[in-house]
Amino acid sequence: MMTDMRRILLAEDDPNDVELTLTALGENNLANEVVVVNDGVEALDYLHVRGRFADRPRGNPAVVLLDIKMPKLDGLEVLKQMKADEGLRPVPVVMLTSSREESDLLESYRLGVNAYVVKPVDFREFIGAVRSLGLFWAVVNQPPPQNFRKIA
Amino acid sequence: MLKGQLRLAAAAFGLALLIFAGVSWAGYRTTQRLLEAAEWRHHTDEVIGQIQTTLGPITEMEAGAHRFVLTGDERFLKPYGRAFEDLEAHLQRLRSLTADNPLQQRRLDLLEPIVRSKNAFMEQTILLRRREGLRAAAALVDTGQGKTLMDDVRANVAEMTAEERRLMLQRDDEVKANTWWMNLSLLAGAVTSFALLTGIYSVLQREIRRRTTAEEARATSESRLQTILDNSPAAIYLKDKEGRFLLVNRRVETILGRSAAEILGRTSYDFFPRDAADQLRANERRVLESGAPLTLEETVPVKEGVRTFLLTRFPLRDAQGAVYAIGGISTDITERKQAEDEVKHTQAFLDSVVENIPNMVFVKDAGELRFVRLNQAGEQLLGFSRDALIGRNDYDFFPKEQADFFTARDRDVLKGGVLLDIPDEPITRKDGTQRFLHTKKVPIPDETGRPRYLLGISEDITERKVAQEQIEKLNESLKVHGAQLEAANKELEAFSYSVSHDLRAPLRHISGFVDMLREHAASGLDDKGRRFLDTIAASAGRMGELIDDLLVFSRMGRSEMGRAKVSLSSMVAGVLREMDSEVKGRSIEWTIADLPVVEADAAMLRLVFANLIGNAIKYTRTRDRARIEIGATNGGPEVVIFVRDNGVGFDMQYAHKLFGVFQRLHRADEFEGTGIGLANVRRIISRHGGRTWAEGQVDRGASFYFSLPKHKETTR
Repeated sequence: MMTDMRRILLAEDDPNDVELTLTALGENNLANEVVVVNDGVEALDYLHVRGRFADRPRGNPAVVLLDIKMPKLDGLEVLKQMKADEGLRPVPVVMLTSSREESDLLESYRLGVNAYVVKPVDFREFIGAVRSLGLFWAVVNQPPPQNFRKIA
Repeated sequence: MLKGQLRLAAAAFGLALLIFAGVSWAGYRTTQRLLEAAEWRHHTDEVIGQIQTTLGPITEMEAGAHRFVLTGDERFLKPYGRAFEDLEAHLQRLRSLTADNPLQQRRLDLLEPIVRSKNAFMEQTILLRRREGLRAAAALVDTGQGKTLMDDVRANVAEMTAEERRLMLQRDDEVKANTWWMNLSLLAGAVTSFALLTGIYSVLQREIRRRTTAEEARATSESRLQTILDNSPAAIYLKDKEGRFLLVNRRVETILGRSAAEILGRTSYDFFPRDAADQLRANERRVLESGAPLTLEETVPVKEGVRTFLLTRFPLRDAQGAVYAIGGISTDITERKQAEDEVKHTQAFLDSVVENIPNMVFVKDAGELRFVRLNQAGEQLLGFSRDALIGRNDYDFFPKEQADFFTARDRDVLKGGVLLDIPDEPITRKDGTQRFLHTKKVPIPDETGRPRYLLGISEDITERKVAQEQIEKLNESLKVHGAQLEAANKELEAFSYSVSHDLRAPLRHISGFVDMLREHAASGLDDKGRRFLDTIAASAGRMGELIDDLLVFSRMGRSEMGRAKVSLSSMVAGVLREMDSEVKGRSIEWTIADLPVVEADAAMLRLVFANLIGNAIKYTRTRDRARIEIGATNGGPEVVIFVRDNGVGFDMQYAHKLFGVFQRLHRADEFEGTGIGLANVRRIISRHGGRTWAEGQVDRGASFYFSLPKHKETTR
């Protein structure tokens, strides 16, 4: 149960970014808790425990890190569908993106994002940012009770 | 009539006088005759007496003679002698008494010889007695001769007496007849006079009564006139030809503040200032010269202040028609005049408002829809003068279908009783050209609320309509352009987005993997290798900065702008606080003036100050003692803000490049920076409708200026 709760879902299409993110998380001993999906559809499949994730252990991740620009279904759409779903709404979502666009920011917050982080160009800063993120959401933050989903 | 009656009375009076004179004369004459008659009677009596007297001596003589004869006594002869002498005297006297009557004279002539014969006979008898005695004498007497003579005498005397008596009777008859006529005429005269005098009296009586009544009426009317004069609220007065007061009523006394005694005999010059008196006198002269009444308004200072009077002056004429005085009636119309003036003023004001309204204003009567008013703008619009228009209706000026339309709308308004807005109606002007009007029509009700007039206000919208059409055309093409522009914008946005997102990702990767490489191969790399890795990382970092700057710049042009009152002074203070760390250890002399409050997007403007102040701090870094001045000029239609420093300055020939994107006048190793700051400043200020410019000199500092318009003016 505990392991489920510490799981981080990372939705990111760029393998370089995936590697960098994982490296950053790894440096903080959080890498083995990360599930990586490469687009929005996969992210929703994972969250709804369907498709190739139909057999995954049940339970919501501690936090979802969403890139905005992804093939098929972009991050904002995934966010929107999560917040429209009663079971997924309590799951914290952090936008982890290159976009500093005001419109992306506004739209994300409008849809109920819990945090918005711009990926810094500098790798050290990037590692710092990801570490803070991982630590906060996966360790510090008290997640919503899991029986919520069971009831749903 | 009256005069005729009086003349008649005078004639009657004359006649009465005449009759009276006649009657008097007749009376006198009658008296005279009566006196004469009395005299005659006396005369007759005297004559008759005289006749008898004359007979007396004869009888005496006869008796004496007889006695002598009988007695022969001589004594009896003594009376005889005396009688004889008397007889002669009596006869003489009788002759003179009857001298006027020839018939009696003749009878006397007959008597005298008989008397003498008798006397002679008696003498003879006497003589005979004496001489021959009784017998002879008696014989002689017996002859009867004496007796016969005596009888003759007696007959004669009787005849004369009778004659006298007859004469007397005749005269009496005459007198009687005369007296009767006289009495009759006297009576007639008296009656006539009485009648005439009664008539005259009645006429006079009536005249007197009439005069008395007239006098009483005059007195009454005079007292009424006086009452009117005294109580009249108008000033009433008479003046002589020289302008001196002859009569004034109480109101005049009040107006002049003097008693009548003080006013009478004086002129206007004694009571009014010279100007006013001149004017009054001039008007009096006009009346005197023209002889016609004159009515005019005069404003003069009186006791109650400066008042306006309605003054009527009129000449007074004597019986011959010559003007001898001027009458005047002055009514104080100050209040009415003021009210009138006010009404006039209001009227003039309203007229001028209507006249000067730059739209056509017209008024029609509600019945026939004839024009009763048209203003100047209307004349200009239609080309018809108001004189031509007023009194006629639409059919006299406009094509039938237009007139039909106007009239129908007019009727709608008058029937509905409410405003009608006709946003677009064509109208044909006098010169045949067509205009388009936006007209509003309202009914103007009378006191009873029924529509009396129709008021219309029309705005000529022809130009606007044409412009509108052009605008519509332009809009059409703009829509096309807009669509293109929107497409271009979309593209640009997509471009920015991809720059933001996609271009940064590879840099992040370069940076990240360089770092990882450095850690992974730390032992296998020499200094040169490590330097290469540092350079790769630095370049990637710089490229990241450039991209970030470009994104900020791009956002600066696209983001929504807010507008609020911004105190530049507190904004500058805030910016300076944030720059604390950058000025640590520096010696900077700040001169910051009072800055105005402007309307702007606070966040954007903050960026402007941050850039300019940051630049000033940066480019004075080489100065031991930096001076930075921030100030404003607020005189004209815009606020101008400047930031001045004593830093390294710049060459004015490159001034135009300063505000360009990524334009730099210094090498990166002299002063760090991407060259985006001033480009952002320019973009922000230009979005506020302002301007940006700079002045500088190499090594002698620089001044950066920007302006903000005072009026709201937004450019997107």
